[in-house]
Amino acid sequence: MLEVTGVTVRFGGLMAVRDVSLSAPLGTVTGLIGPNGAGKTTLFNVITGLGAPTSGRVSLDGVDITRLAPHKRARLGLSRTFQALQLFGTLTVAENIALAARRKGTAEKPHECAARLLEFLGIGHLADTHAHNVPTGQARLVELGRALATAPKLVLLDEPASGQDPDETEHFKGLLRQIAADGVGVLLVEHDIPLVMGVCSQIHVLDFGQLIARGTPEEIRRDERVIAAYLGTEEVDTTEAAAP
Amino acid sequence: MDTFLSLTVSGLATAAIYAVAASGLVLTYTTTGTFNFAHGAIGMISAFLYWQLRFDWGWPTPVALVAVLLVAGPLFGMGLERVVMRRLEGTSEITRLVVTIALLLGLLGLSVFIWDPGVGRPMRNFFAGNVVEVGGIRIPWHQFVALAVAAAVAVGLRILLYRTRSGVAMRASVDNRTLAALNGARPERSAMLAWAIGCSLAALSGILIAPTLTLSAIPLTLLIINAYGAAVFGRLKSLPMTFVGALVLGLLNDYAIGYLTELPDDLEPYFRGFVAAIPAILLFVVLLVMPASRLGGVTRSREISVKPGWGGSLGLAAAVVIGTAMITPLLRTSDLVSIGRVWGLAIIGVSMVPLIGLCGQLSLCQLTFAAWGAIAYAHLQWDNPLALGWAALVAGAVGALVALPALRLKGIYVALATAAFAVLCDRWLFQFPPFSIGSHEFDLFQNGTLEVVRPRLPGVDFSGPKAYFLFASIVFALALLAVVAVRRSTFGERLIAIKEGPAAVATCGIDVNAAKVAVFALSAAIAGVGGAVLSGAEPANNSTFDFVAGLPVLMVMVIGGVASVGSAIATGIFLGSPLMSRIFPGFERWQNILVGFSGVGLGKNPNGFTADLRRPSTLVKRDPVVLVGMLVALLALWGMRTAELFTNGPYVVASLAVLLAAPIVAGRRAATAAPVTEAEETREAVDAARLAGAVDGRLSAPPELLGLTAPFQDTDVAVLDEVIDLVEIHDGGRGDRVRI
Amino acid sequence: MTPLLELRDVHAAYDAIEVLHGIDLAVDRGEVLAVLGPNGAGKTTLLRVVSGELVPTRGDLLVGGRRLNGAAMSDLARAGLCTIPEGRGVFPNLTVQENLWMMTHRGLSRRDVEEAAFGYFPRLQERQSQLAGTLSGGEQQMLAVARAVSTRPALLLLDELSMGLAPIIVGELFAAVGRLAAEGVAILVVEQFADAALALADHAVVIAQGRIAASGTPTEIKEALRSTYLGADTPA
Repeated sequence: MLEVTGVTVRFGGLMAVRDVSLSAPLGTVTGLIGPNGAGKTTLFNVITGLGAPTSGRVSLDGVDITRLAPHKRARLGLSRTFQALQLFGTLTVAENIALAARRKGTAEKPHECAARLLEFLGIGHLADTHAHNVPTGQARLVELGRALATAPKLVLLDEPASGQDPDETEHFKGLLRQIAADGVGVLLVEHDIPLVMGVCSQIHVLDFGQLIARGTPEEIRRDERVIAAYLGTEEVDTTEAAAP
Repeated sequence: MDTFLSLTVSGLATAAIYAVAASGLVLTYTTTGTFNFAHGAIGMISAFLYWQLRFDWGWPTPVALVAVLLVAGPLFGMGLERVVMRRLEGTSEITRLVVTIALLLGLLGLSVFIWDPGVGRPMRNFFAGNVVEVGGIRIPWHQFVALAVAAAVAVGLRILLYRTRSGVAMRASVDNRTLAALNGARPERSAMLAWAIGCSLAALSGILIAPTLTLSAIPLTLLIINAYGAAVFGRLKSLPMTFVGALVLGLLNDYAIGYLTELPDDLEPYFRGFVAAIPAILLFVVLLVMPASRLGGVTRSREISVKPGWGGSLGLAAAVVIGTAMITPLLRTSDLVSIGRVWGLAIIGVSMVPLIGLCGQLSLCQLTFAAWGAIAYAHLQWDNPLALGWAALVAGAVGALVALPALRLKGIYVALATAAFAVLCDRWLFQFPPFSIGSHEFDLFQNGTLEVVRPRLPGVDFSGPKAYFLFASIVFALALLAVVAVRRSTFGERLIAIKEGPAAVATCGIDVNAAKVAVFALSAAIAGVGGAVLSGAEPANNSTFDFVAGLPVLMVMVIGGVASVGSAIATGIFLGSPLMSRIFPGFERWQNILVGFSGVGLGKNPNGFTADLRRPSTLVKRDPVVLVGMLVALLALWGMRTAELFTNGPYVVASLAVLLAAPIVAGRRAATAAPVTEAEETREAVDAARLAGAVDGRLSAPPELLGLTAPFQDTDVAVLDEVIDLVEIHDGGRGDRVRI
Repeated sequence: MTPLLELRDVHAAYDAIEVLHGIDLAVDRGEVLAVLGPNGAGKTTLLRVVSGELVPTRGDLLVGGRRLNGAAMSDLARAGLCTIPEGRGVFPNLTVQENLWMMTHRGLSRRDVEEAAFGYFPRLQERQSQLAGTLSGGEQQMLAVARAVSTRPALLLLDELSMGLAPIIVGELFAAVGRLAAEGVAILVVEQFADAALALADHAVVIAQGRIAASGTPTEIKEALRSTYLGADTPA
């Protein structure tokens, strides 16, 4: 289980994330949503070690990883994808994935790992394509594959469905369910709310760097603060909000 | 006390000149995002121009000053912005830095071309001979001039940037270029103004500093590089802090000059070069101390390196050795003197491939690594080829040492730190007199030239000039194969990953720092071997390996394609052999100009020329008839030359003609044979893309039926271009099209 | 009558990735058009096309009936197009006064700009020599909007004006925008938070996945939105 406790991030005078605590259990998909600029990517950076929190604590399976270098967190089982794609363009898709494959404690060779994941993701035909030639929708899958190659306990996905067409998103939804069924935890930041509502068992809502709600998709759909955060700041008619 | 005071005053004057230079550098960097490595060279060439007008042609001082500072400088800056820099919009910071390094080299070449360095050019101080006595110390007027100029520059820049709309617009476009344009300001005009003022300030500092030295190109170019130390003090952003940096640097410099001579005699020689190295040391220290986050900068680039196959690489390595073996007997010993450097330089060139080409760390001290290798090799005095391993080991250790501070730096700061290291070694460490640690005596450059023992194996003696030339080619072939092996290994993939996905690579569980130290060590080790081989080929002294000598090597590599091993051969032949000057008499004088200005044109094709050569070589490789024909022709020519039917000149020209003709013939044959070859060319890419769904639905017909069932559409070309990575991008949204 | 701004089948792309797949819309003089839609739908891209930052790959951008594809941003700005981009549309390292000074590129005097800006937002006058980056979020957005009120543009583009602001400030800003609309300025408002924009708009469109998904009066659109944002079933 990933636990984030009281994390605050300040950039100069700006408080990008304010005292956020959340947890993401393994084997399920946990959603993290919120309007633009709510601090979701900042929080991801803190969790994966690409940014340091001003205060607070991050732990994975009870091990405090707040001060650990990113590659050490990855070796402990934490990996991620990026909103702005970060594929290694000169390398082929298979090489991208093999590069991230875990080498210790497994009999599987990196190229076997890549082949297995490519098949799982349904993009085996792209194996020898250079990553910079892969269109965005499928590049998202390659990044997912690269994250899975590290044999993670938990993957963080930063807007994985943006740039995907509806069919690809549907395929992606299935993949997420399967990954969770294999016992891997998923923490999902996504603007495609139907996707989030469809796959997450718990959803956290961030607004202005603060956690304003958490609950099941059904609870979130009815939460007034969430509706207010998304639709504006005027008062919301509660009877209307309760309607499906 | 008097000494202290007069040193303080002269230190302030030095500081003033540094401040003028550094403020110009900072102004262009903040406004345009381009770090102008050629800033010093622009100052240098302006000083020469001023000398020409004022002293050679005898123009009145004010007229000459106006002509240089208010006409030539700004015009040059504006032209530079318009012709070169504007086109580099959207390229990485590193690409732009490389272009300014090329400019430095070009200007250096140009100045040597116009003003023969063999001729002395006295340049008088302003108000020479006039001295004021204040409180018992004598202050020359020109020191006042420097101080007054710096004060005027400070006030002038302040007024410009805060009191005029153009200046406010310049600062605004630093904050947010797009927003400035949305306000109706014209950011291109701001950039042009910044370049104009920057060049003018460079010229001013050049003219101020030239009289304190003899007017000669390289010291002047490098002396203003000292200003980089001051500029980095202000984090390349803050002008007031830049002035503080200049103050520290100027005072340190003059106190050091004043007081180091008073050191005891046995210590003094070790500090002789120290003064000259102060700016480099300061630059290094400031880069180390500055908070890392401030030095950020995205270094993503669009350079692409193709994975070389074993077949082709072994073929290339074999061609190098066999070709050398065939040519060597034809050469006279005197030819070998001029051609001997080829393979040493090629090895140093190939050492750049993993570090700069794959990992994207722009090191400017590869020749310094080579120097440490050469020193280690010479001191071992062992005639076994394994002695090269010792050179590699020592240079590799130096490389790892340099990597440690470089770990926390990104982009241009790696370049600055490695440049500082190179200058530090050139000016100080390599000037050391002999010293001993314990009972062992060290004498780095043996007071001049390195004495190297050439290798010998049982039965094979490589010590003759011809045998050594062959030996060097074998070492190069091995280095080439080693680099190919690195590129093809997981380690090589990691290096590429560090360059292309700096954020992602750590989250894949890869230890970025360890990989960076390793690649620095590896690259330095190869460079060390290159240095050792070079020092065996010709008498090497510290100027063989100095910072400026390293720039052409870097530039030819970059022009050729710094990620491909093939360009190392080009580097060796181009810089190390008299080939070009045989074909074009007087080429030496043109070399730097040519290399420099080709580099300036580089922005459009950061992959280098070898990327363009790949197609012809593939054509030849795929056509066995042409390939065999080419080899037979080359062999025949060689046979005729060996039979002394003609001399080396015609032989070289005829061989080159064969090499050039082969791809042309192959291309013709491929075009007439069938469009199949053409299809094969793009097959891989199109297949992949079609499967990926990138092509489907966007072409007017399936790729294999394009143009058959219906006329070929413009959109089809666009789609295919995009798929095979000829993406068209819009330049700044202004409709100019750039092809990458 | 020709509309002030018209987009005809506009397609736009970042490198190879097409983001807008054929947008048609028109804004008349004095009309306020709200462009709504979820994140990543292409709203900001649309504004970037209109402001000249991005050249459409297909289709036409017409202002006052003239085709202006590919015109430079600064020329469009000088011709009377005012864009308040997403985020804080100010220069953080310039003072408030210097920020206002940047608004004089359309040929106004410093004095005119300051008078208009301080007239609308007296708070800015108190802070005129402060760096814009040290202002509160609301004050920064006021400073950004000051450009619109002081330069009297023909067409005003507003991108996510309310983002990250307290309701009371959003009210104040939209009041200023409303006054401009009443004076006949054509306005295009892009908002993720719909209510404030809809209150002001004469007409609204919803963009989803790079296409216009709905178009109608503010009341009609309000209903359609809830499903787009929160993923409930689309109302009949």
